[in-house]
Amino acid sequence: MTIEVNDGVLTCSGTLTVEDAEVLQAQLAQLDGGAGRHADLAGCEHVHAACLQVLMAAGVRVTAWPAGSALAAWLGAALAPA
Amino acid sequence: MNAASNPLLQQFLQESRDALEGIAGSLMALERNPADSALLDDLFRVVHTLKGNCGLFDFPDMFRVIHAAEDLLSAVREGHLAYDGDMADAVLDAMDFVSLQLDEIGTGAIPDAAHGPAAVALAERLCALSGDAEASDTADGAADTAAPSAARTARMEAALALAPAGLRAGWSEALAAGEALLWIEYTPEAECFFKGEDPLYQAIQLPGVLWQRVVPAEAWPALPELDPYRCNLVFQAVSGAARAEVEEHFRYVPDQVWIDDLPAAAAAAAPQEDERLADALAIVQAQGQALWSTGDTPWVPGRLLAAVAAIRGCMTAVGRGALLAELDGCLADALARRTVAPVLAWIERHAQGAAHDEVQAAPAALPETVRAGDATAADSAALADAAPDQKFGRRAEDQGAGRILKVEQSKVDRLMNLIGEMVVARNGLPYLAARAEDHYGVRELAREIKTQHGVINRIVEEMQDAIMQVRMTPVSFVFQRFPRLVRDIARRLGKEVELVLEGEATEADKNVIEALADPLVHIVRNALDHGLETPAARAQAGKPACGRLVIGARQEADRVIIEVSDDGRGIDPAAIRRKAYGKGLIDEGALEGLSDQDSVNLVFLPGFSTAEQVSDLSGRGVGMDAVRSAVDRLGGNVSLSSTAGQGTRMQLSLPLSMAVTNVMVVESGGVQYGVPMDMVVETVRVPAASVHAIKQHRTAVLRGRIVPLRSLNELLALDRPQRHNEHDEMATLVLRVHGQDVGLVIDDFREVVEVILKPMSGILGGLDAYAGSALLGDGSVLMVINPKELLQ
Repeated sequence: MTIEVNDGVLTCSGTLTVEDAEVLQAQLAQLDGGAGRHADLAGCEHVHAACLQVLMAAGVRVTAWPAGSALAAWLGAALAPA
Repeated sequence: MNAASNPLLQQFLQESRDALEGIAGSLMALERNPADSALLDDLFRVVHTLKGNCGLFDFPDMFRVIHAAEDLLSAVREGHLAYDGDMADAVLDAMDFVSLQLDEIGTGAIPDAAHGPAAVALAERLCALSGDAEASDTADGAADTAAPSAARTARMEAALALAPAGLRAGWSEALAAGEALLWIEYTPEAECFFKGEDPLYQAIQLPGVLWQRVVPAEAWPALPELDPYRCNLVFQAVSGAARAEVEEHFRYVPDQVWIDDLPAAAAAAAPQEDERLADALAIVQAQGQALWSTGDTPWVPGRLLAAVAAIRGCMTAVGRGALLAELDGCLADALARRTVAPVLAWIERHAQGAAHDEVQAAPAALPETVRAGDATAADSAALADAAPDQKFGRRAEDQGAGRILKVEQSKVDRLMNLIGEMVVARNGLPYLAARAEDHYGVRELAREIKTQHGVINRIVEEMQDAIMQVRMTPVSFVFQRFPRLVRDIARRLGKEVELVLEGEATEADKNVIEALADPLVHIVRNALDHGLETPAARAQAGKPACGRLVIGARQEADRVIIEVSDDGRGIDPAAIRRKAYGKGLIDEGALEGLSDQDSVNLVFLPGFSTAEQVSDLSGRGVGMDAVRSAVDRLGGNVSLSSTAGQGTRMQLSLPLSMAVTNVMVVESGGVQYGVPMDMVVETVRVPAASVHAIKQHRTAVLRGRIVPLRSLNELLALDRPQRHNEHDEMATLVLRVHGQDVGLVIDDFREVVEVILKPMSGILGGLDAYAGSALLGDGSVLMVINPKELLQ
């Protein structure tokens, strides 16, 4: 997995494991909350539920969804604005 | 499922066996010290991990039993129940069951479905024990059940109202057509991440999902306050899969899932609305999504204008133009602040259609989170500080995989065999040197070969030593079974026993240690059954009620000494003599002449048993005899000493390693034989004149002792007389067999060699007179004599 911030957009790829949740939390906390937190999940193969809830709690706006259709459907159900 | 082809399963088997040992140890330690909460935590953790690992595979019976055991331990840990012996029995039985299942899986079989009832019985027994604690909980819970189910139904209806109208219309058609649709609400428990569960993965794998939604169970806290390892998610889904399939999918977490038939009413709730309205709202929502992902990028104004134009068209088309004034206000605000938030808020307020209030909970919580996030940016340093601390306590168990390599035993055995071959090849070099010198007459070459032999010799010896170190196993491998064994037997016999293990770190070759297990079990059973008295009898004899059994190991030179001693009633030599006589094992003459020590050793005679009654533990008259022959096979000795009324001490002396044997090569009847060096006391040449005949036996007096002489040719039934040397002396090996010196007369002595002793196999396996055969350096085969059998 990689988690990095490019131009204020959190970019994740590979598999976000349960251990990555805290890293993710710290990274998101550093992003400016006022401008909205953006995440590019296009490269994600799987997102652990612990990471998902960090993303949800941070209210990230997903700019790109992962390729896996089932994963994208569930992430969309969790992270897309209702 | 084949264990060999699945490395994950292999690892699971190995780790689970380790875990089972740990569990048994902790249970027993806990019995002695029930108040030790650290021990209890440890035990719980191991059981918990075992359950988690088990969940990775499809072993429902095993899982059920472990789960029940975990519940019981959890109740104890939380103080609802007091730990007692019955509980330990139940958990130990459960672990035995798991061990059985592991064995079956290990042999490549799927666990037998016939174990199902046994698993259910075990789980029920465990539940019955923990039931006392839960009974009160359930009583309270029963009243509450009605309320949650109403709340769940309300949640379902609220969630369904959010589903796109097109989908809902499809569902109601499907329902009308008699198809079954399921509503699934999966609320993982807060601690699920610690069990290695990934609820999202579980959700993704859910079959037949038509629509899904993920919401927080409770509104999200501010990001820094969020504990990412407490699951706060609720997964909701509509599925077209069969109910059985969905239940199967959630079979490990049935209590966390609510599965219900999708009610036609809920599916059809929305369609009463104007379908066009629904479509229009869907478009508005899509605009919202597009805006959402735009965020606060520089092209916000353009996007906003485009989105608002689209929304305006939709709203006008469905006759909701009244709301547009508010939208214009929001747009102006948004453009001024260059952010999409005001327009999104408008969409949220007006485009949800008939959305239920509760549904708003998730989005409503959002702005709060974002606001809190502002503060977070500044506080992120504090978060970074806090995070490692949390991590430390939580993940500690994940670390500490030592740098220990687990290797299959067959690989080590192969290596040892190869080194054995190497020893034989090395032994060939001196012969080669001798041939170079004698046959070809090249002395120089002979010397160089000898030098090379020296080098190879050193390396081979180091290799031997290294492989021996690898094979060294601590005696704790055998000892660790005793706490359980002693506890079980003592409970059954109604005796109180304190078991003391000493020198568990003492090491010996794996084969020796493994072969030691059965004899030791016999000895310990005997000590418990015959040696130690009941508490009442001990009190009468003025001893503490709790008997003491010491099993100790230590190393002495190249041998390992195992001692089992108890402070029981000891062995009464007179009783032994009477018994042996009564069974016809000794004759009247021997009865008179036996010393007390010799009498005690009578228990090693085949067919001897002192127990008045045959119990299920010992007393069938095979025990000590079996012990002695097992130890003999290992090249060891047994000695027994006892003081009536004070206790018994049994000592086993075994070689550290059995791989390389030193044998003395001797010649007899024109053939070479090997005699194990560890039995040879001395080599002497006895003048034929000093041999005396006592009855039909020949004896000689050596160092003031009378030593019986036996001729090897005679023992092997060779019809040649033993050859004497030019001074009419007989070459005699003095051997110590079962504590007695015996002179073995041979033709001549040769050298001492290191050989790899191969036991006899096949038809020859029945020849007890030989310990085995070995290959010599010149390619000839050496038969190694087993003096213990030969001289009986």
